Order: sequence, then C-alpha cells, then structure tokens
Amino acid sequence: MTMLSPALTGTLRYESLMALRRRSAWLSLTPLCLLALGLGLDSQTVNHYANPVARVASAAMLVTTLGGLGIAMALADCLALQQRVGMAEVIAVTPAGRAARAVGVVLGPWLVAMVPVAAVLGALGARTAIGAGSVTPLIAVAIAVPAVVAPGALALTAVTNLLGVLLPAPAVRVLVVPLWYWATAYSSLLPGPSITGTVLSPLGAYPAAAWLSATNPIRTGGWLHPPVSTLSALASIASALIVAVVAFLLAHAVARDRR
Amino acid sequence: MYVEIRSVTKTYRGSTVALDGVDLTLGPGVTGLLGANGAGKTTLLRLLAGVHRPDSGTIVVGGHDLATTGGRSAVTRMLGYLPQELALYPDLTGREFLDYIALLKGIDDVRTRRRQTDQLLAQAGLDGVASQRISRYSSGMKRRLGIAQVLLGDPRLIVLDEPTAGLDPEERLRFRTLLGSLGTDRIVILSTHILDDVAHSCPRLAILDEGRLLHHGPTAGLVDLAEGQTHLLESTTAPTGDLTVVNVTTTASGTCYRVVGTPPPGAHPATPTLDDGYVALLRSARHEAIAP
Repeated sequence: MTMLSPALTGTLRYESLMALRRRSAWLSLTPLCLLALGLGLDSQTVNHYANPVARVASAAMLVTTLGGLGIAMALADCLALQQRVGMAEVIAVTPAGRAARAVGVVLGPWLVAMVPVAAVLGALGARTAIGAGSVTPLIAVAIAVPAVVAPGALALTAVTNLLGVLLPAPAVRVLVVPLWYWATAYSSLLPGPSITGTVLSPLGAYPAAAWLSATNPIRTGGWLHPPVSTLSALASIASALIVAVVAFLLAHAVARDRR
Repeated sequence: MYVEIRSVTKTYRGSTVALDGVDLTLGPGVTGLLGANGAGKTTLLRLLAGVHRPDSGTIVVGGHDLATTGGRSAVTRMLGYLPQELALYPDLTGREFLDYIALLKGIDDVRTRRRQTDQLLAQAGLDGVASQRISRYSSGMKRRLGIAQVLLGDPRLIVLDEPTAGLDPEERLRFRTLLGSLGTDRIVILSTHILDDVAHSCPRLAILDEGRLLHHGPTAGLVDLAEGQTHLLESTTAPTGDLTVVNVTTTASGTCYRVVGTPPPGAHPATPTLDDGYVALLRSARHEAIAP
C-alpha cells in the first residue's frame, strides 16, 4: 500500500523530472544561485557577524532574495504549460483527483528548483562551519531552509504561477523582479509604501531574527512591525504561506476557467 | 454496454449552436463520426468524454449518467480519449509519458504499468524509440503515442477525435490494424474526414451536419443512398444542373466527371461508393432544408 495516490505520485515524479530537464528553467535559476553564492562568500553584510549562526541567517536572507527570485522565474510557466493543447483534456478525463494534480504540478517542480538554492545555503553554511570549527552553522542551515528561504520562495512562485496563466512567461519574468524587490528590499533604498521590513515581507527576516540570532533590522511598533518573537516569526511564515495558498487557488481557478 | 445520447444540445459563447438536439445510441464496435468542419463532431466527442457538459439533454454511458459526479467519475475509469490536437510533453520519453498517464489513470502496480506500456509501445511501433525524448519524435510518432495512451487501462469506451490526422499512409494502415485488434466488445467512436478510414474500420457510422444528426446506421447503408444517383460523364466542360461533382479524372481520352444527382445528358450509371453516399445524403438534407 502506498502513502500517496498514484495520481499524486505520478504528478510529483514526472512534473519534477520535466522541470529538471527544462533548460530554460536552469538558465533562469543558475546565474542567480551563483550570484548568491558569490555574494555570500564575499559580502560584508553576511560576513560581518561574529556569531556563525547569525552569519548563516544573513546568508539565508540573501539566498532568499536571489534564489527565491530565480525559482519563481524558472517556474513562471509551470502552470501555463499544463494548459498545452489537448493534454489538459486528456488529464481532465482521467480519474486523477484535481486537488492531487494541482498540488503535484506546483510542488514537484518547486522542490526540484529548491535543491540548488538550498545547496547554495548549504555551501555557505559549510564554509562558516569550517571557519568556526563547529557543526552549529549546518544545523542553522537545516532550520533556515524551511523557515527563512522556503516560505518566501513558495509565495513568490505561486504569485508568479498566477501571473503566468494571465500573461506570457517572458512578461511575467520581467514583472516579478520589481514585485519581489517591492516586497523584500524596496524601502531600504527608497522610502515608500512597501511591505519590506514588515511581518508580511516574505524575506524571512522575522524567523531569521527570532531563531537564528540575526540582527533585528526591523523597526518595532505597529501591527506590521511587531517585536521579534517566536509568535511574530510564525506570523511572518504564515503570511507567506497564506499568499502562496491564495495565489495557488486563484491560479488554478483561472486555469480551469480558461480550459 | 451502450452509450445513450438523448436530445443533447450545446451552444458556445457567441450563440454558436454546436449541437442541436442530437439523439444517438452507440453499441459495441467501431462507429465512425463524419461531418464537415463545424458540424459538431469534436463537441459531441468532448461531451462524450466528459470534458464539457451539454446545455440540455442527457448522456448515459454504461448506465452512468454524465450529468452526475458519480457518473462522470465512473466513466473516467472506463474511458480512453484522444483529442483532435495533442501537444505532448516534449521533455519526457515515450515510455515515461505512458507511465505518467498510466499513473493518472490509477494503475498503481508497477509491473502492470510496465507490461501495458511495453505492449502499447510495441503495438504503436514505438518500442525502438521508447527511451527517446518526445521532442525528437515526428508528428506521426507523436500521434501514435497519443493513440497508445488512449489504450492504457484497457478502456471500454474509446473516443478518438481525428486519430489519423497527420499520419502517412503506412501509419494509417498500422492504425487500422490496431483498431481492428481492439475487439468487438468495447465501444469505439472515431471522428474523421477520411471516408476511406470509415470504409475500412467502421461497420457503423453517424453523420452530423450543422449540429444535427443526419444519419446513423450501417456504413453499407450510406452507399445505398447513392444507388441510382451516381453517374459518370465524359465531357470537355463541367456538367451543370441539379447535381454535385464528386470526382474529376483526366485521362488520355478526355475528362471524366463522377456526379451524384440528376444525371446530365450522356452520363451513364456507376456503382456508388461511400463518397457518393455521403454526397447523396448531404444533398438530400440540403434539399429538405430548402423545401417549403
């Protein structure tokens, strides 16, 4: 007896395989991962921390900023490709559950794209661990990937998938850059209405500060800027996941309506 | 098992009536679905497959009403469907693609999936390229792979929308052989523009015209409709009158026109074919529509 339904197993397996083989996906993701690695090795923003765990936390936010964007750009057309002529009909008339399919189509390729992003953070963590002579930075990496990097990357991927069923993929890949910049870095350079620095930002600053000793860069005060705590860190993760779920449901509703 | 289609109507956005009160009962065996472009063939097949729902009327497959969730779910377990156009996944190999569809069809036993995919790849003549990516396949190979996915899970209802489009003559022959090997205990309905395919593969046929069912019965019965109306005329000018030119052949002795309708002077009777029967039926339907 298998834990997953055959439809979910098949969708996860083969959608992942297709994502792995899609050259255009790697053309989007690889340069940003390499840039994150280069900056992570060299940047003062990351390396000025004396605490190795805080260094990993800072690296995790850097990897989120660049790697999250890379994943979203790589998978911009992942849902739109499901609408290819005829295949949507062939799949619609199989007994495969719609929910299992929808989850597998997004989650399979996303997990594949997360591998190099997590590997970059792993490499930075390993370097920190060697320098510090301790395995603690590697444990920090194991926490940072699901708590700091994954929620934001998943939220942006879901939003990009939604845009991908409405607009051509190249346009989405261009649009997603200012959108991500607005959500994670905008107000640090230009003051203006932005969710950057708030508990709603998908950058992962709250979990990084609450659990990985990153310096709290966030002004406290007001419900968008709560003090750093486990509760506010969980709220930050939850807000990213809510965005991901809402965008996921909207994208599938739009895709179904267009069929 | 039977498919019962009762008073089915389907109108698309923009008030285009695709199907207008179609009544049709399909039994075991292969039924050809003929009709001009826009006659409603693809719409009827999509309704049969459960891709779309009719605006009114009922479709019951083997006792399962497609209007109900339970009925649709039951039919998905007995259905193989090939749409008119099918853009396959270019990044998968032929074998992987079939395995993927087999999983979606609920075949969770690895050995069963492997046996079925191997058998279907061989039947489709794709066993030699099973490990190649689909992006490297020719259009005919892709079409054959599309047909192979239909047969996964041994479906009792097979719906094929122009399965031979894009196949070369040899591939069409191979397809006919494949169709012939399906046996007579399942319901197969295939739409086509190619009368030759119907003549060779379909003991029964249904003809749609402008969303209405014009004819349903044995294929041989269609030929009979042109009996006494089919003539050959050798002439240097195209014949005129209440007739339809079915075919023109240029020979050393002149031009020979094959016509259906009122014979022009000098014409002599010919043995009707399926083409003549199809033309005779359409002429009859159009005359009835014009008649007060």
